[in-house]
Amino acid sequence: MSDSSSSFISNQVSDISPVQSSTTQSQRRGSSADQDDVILSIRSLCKSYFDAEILQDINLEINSGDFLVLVGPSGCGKSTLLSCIGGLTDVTSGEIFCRGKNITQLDPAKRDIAMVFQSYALFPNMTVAQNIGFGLEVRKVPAAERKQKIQQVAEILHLQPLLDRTPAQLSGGQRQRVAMGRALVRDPTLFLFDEPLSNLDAKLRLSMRTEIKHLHQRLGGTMVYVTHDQVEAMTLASKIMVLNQGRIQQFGSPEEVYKRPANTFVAEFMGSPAMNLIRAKVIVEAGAVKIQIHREDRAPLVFIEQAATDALRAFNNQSVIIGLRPESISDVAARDPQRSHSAECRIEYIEGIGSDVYATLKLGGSDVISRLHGDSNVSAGDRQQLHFDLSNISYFDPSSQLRI
Amino acid sequence: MHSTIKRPRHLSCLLYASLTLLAFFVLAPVLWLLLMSLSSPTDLTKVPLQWIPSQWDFSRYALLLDWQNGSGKRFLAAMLNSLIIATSASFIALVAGVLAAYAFSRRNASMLLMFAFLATIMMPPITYILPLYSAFSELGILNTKVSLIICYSAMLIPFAIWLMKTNIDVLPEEIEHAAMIEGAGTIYTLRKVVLPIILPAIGATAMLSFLTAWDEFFYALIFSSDLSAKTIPVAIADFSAGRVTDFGVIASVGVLASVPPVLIALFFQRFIVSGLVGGSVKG
Repeated sequence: MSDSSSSFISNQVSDISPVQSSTTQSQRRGSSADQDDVILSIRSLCKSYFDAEILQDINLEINSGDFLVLVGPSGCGKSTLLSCIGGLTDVTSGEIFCRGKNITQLDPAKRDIAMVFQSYALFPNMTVAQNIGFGLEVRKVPAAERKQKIQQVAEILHLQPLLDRTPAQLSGGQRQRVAMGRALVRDPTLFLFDEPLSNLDAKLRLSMRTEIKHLHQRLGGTMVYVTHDQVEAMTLASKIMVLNQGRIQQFGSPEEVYKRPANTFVAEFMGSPAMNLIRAKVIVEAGAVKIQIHREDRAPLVFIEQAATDALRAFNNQSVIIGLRPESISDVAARDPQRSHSAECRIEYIEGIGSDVYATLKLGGSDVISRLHGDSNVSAGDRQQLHFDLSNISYFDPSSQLRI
Repeated sequence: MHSTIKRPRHLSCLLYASLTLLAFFVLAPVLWLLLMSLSSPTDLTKVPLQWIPSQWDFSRYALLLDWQNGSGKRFLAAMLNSLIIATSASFIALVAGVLAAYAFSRRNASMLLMFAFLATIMMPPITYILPLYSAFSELGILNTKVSLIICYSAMLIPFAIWLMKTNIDVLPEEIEHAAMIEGAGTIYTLRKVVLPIILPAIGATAMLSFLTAWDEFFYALIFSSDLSAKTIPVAIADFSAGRVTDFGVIASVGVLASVPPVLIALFFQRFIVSGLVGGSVKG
């Protein structure tokens, strides 16, 4: 199964790559001078410690100005992959290219890469200015030029009043900015971020996230960013790579990963609350593909899939898993009435979060979360007319868990 | 400075009584040493003992600090030897210890080698005396400072490695990674990043090494025979070896010989405390 899944995913990646490259091109058009300039390319990278395979067959390519986010649960190998790119961990097999140059065996000092660490890793014995200027000092940049560059970066990051302080005298958010300043000042080919916001409190994390996004848009650097927070991944990335147990689950634009997850893992990992995965049966009747979902209290919920692929038709009389985002099940009518289905459902329980109301119902034997308007006046046990927006429905094979 | 938890009165009394007793035990010998060095010989031989000297006698200090005089020369030469030997041995042990500890802690140097180093301090010194003696004799460096410097640095290096390694182990490795990514090589990282952070530990190791070397008696007794290499512990023993022993002189030598270690301990103590507070690494 493992072999088939990896080949499927690489097919998936090659299938979608033309689409994705056109979108990123249009995003970057006019902003960056050297378009389609491949900055980082990784070929069949593997990493194992003794018997444990941490990374298996990682392939990726990013262009100048891309913001790649590596996302996955703890222990999925994302930090190890970043560390391999930075040269802090040696790879077991495979190659890493930076601007076309093979850097697999190159010393981290010679890779022209900057890294922002989770713990910031500031030098506690130096002032903020010395911390920022460290890389320049190593490279023997003249003091005057160094000072000028430090000033420029301090201005961008609002660090001017803090230049003479030591890291111990700074708050978490300020240390974070110093760590970014140290990376920015050298203008490297590639920036690596290892969960840079995970040590900050919720409010600061949000503002730093915006700041990083702004910086990227303003300075146009190429970045690889590791996080376990899928919201951070969605908001920052121009490309997302979802990893689990050392394997690439999906590599694509945030929209693709969100709307067309490659397998049930990605479907459940991205988005909060997670995508609903519901058992259903495919029935092909007179050319029409019907999807039937079992309900305990009433007749099965049946809708017609108008855009059924041949692959889905092949599942005739078999069960599939359908994936529907909470926002696709709502009390508000769908945008495209052609691809919408309405049914009355019993609400099991509700959770209000102010802006929305999450109502849980039972479909196909599992709890399904629907997202209702914040003003909806439903309560547990009510029957409610719900609209199922099928335009972004996903189908998965129950045995392989892969997208159909 | 008010403590928020009030201690019951009887507990406080008990605590202070214990502390006073402890202070007395620790300080009484030192005080007696000082008094002895300032008492006249007749006071020291009186029965029952004259605890408080009938007159203050500073003549022995004058004698010992006078280079022209026989005892003074013996004492001052030994002090000088001890200073040179203890400083050199501590310096060698620190340099070798820091570099070796970094290799063991960060560069995966074989732990077997580390344990081999540590095993050398498990053996009693007497096992080394004979082979070392014949080796030094072959090399013609018996009764020189060099032989003692070699001995002491060999004795201090395993201990310095051990102390430095435990201190480097607890440093967040990310800081060194950051330095490497910024383009620094190992020596540069060590010099500009690691050493300043572990400076308090280096201070502590330097102090303990110096004191160990300063106090060493056994090797010094065997390997040195005259003023060119004799260290202060051997010199003190020499003063008591004559037919007529003046306890006052021995006490004065003892007082003077403890001045450098006390100064060093005081100096490094302030340094260690300030270092531990200021070097916070937490990110």
